[in-house]
Order: sequence, then structure tokens, then C-alpha cells
Amino acid sequence: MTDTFPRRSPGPVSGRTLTPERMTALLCLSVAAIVLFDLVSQYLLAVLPVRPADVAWRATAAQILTTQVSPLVLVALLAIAGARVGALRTRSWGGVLMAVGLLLGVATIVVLLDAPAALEHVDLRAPEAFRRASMRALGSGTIGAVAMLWAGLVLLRRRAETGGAPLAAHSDS
Amino acid sequence: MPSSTTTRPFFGLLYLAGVALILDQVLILASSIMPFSPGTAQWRFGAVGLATGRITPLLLADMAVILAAIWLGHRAVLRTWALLHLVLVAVLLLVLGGFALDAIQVRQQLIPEAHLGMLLGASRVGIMLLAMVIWSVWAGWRMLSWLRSTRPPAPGKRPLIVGQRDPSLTATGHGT
Repeated sequence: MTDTFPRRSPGPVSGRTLTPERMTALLCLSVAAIVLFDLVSQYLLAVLPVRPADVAWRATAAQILTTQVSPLVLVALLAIAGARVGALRTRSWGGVLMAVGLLLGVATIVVLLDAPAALEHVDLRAPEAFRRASMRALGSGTIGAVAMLWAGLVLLRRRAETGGAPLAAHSDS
Repeated sequence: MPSSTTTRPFFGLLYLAGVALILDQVLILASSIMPFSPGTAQWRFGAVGLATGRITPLLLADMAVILAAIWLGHRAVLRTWALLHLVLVAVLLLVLGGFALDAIQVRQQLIPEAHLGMLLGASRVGIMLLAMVIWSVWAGWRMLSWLRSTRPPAPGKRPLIVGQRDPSLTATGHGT
């Protein structure tokens, strides 16, 4: 009697085998990295030259940061999707998202503290528009900070659940 | 085929979303760089700068098309898309080289106070173009790797024989 099995598809058979899940995860994490870099570089260009002693600069820089909440949430979504779908080790992404969340929190506090001072001491052309922008920044910054901290915790807790061991044999994150 | 019948419509919609996003971004970019004047360095410099501002939605669209093709098992689409990425690498490298030359030319026409800002902006555009080159190489290579690793057996080939049971071993209690 002869045992026959379907022919195995050629290609790698180790932990690096490219499954649809793994491809999805790698794509998500790669796109998240490029989008994050794009956001950071755009932000840095927008706030240059740096004048931390200037209250108006601080308030404006914090306001600009809070306008990036939507794409940052998208980055967090891609990172979580990549980690979940591909079961990849993403401890670095957890740390990055936590750092971004903290930064957004600090920006929100800066808006809260500096916006009234900027309104009083700086000659603004449109104080009403600045006040509205500050209110929006407070709302967006708070939501963004909570969302990013939560996303970072999700990724870090996922690592803790597995004892820090890699979920997959290989990580490209 | 990787996707189940319940998820197939979702991935079909991903195709639609990806193509719609690409067309939308191309139209927005085209309208922002009109009137076309490819003969002038300033126009080329500005056009490349504006194009790099559309990278995020274009990347998402690219990812949507790749994911849809993978999960729906559309190997021909994936092969075509991978080849397009490799063509894009050559185009991006040409654009990067041209952009560097245009940046030098444009810089000479600016007042000295604007040099630093222009240099930082141009550096960002250059880095983003380089990132897109790396992305295109990586994505194209990954797609081709995936196609190779999931290649179906050639039609008409017999199944692989992996073993034959020896009757004498069965008689002695082995090989059961």
C-alpha cells in the first residue's frame, strides 16, 4: 500500500513562511512606520525655528501637534492590527505609541497653561480664532493622548501576556 | 484561496477603496501643480514637494490593493502590482536625482535668509522619496516572495509519493 499526500508548495517552511496574516502584519507595520516618520518630519518643519522661551511659539507648536491626532490614531490602528493579525513581537511599537501619547498629553497641558498667557501678552491678529483653536487643541489633545496611551498599553500588555517572549519566530517590527 | 466567503466582499471593497484613493490623490495633485511647466526648475521642485505631501494616503491605497490581492488570491494582480513597484523604483530614483539638481538651482535664486528653511524642506522631501524607494523595493520583493512561496502545483503533475509501507515491518509489529 502506498501513502500519498498532495505535493507541498515550494518555498520556505520555517517560522518565516509568508502567510497572508504575516504579509498583512508586515504591510501594516511598515506603512505605520513611514506614516509616523512623515508626520514627525512635517511637524518639525512646521515648528522651526524652535523658540521655547516664546509663549506664543509654545502654544502654537502644541496646537499644531494636536492637529495630527487623526493620522496618529491611524498609525496606532495599523500597529495594533499588525500585532494582532500577524502575532508579531511589537514591544518597540508599544513604547513608541506610549511616548507619542505622553507627548500629546504634554502638548495639551502646554496649551492649557500657555494659551491664556499668549492671548494676554502677545499681539494676535485674530484672538477669537486663536481661542477657538486652543479649545479644539485641548479636546483633540486629550482624546489623542488617551487613545495613544491606551494603544501603547495594549501592545505592551500583549507582550506581558506572553512573558516577553516573541509571539512569532521572527519579527520585522 | 485564503479568504472565506464571508470576508470576500470586504476585500473586494478594499480594491475599490485603494483605486479610488489613488485616483483621488492623483487628481488633487494634478490640480495643485497646474499649470504644467516641466521646463522650469521651480515648478519641478514645487511639484515634487507637493507630491511627497500625498504619500500617506497613497501608501494606504497601495496597502489596500496588496492586501485585497493577497486575501482574494489574485496572483495575476499581485504579479502586475509587484512589477509596477519595481518600475516605480526606477522612476523615483530619477525623480530623486532631478530633485537634488533642481534644489541646487532653486537655492541659488533665494535670499540667504531662506536658505536654511529651503534646505530643511528639501531634505525632508529627499528622505521621503528615499523612503518610498525602499518601500517600493521591499513591497515588490515581498509580493514576489509571497507568489513564489504559494505557487500552486503544476497541472497534470502526479502527487508526491512520500513513503511506502513495508509489509514485513507490519508483521513484526512495527510501522503500524
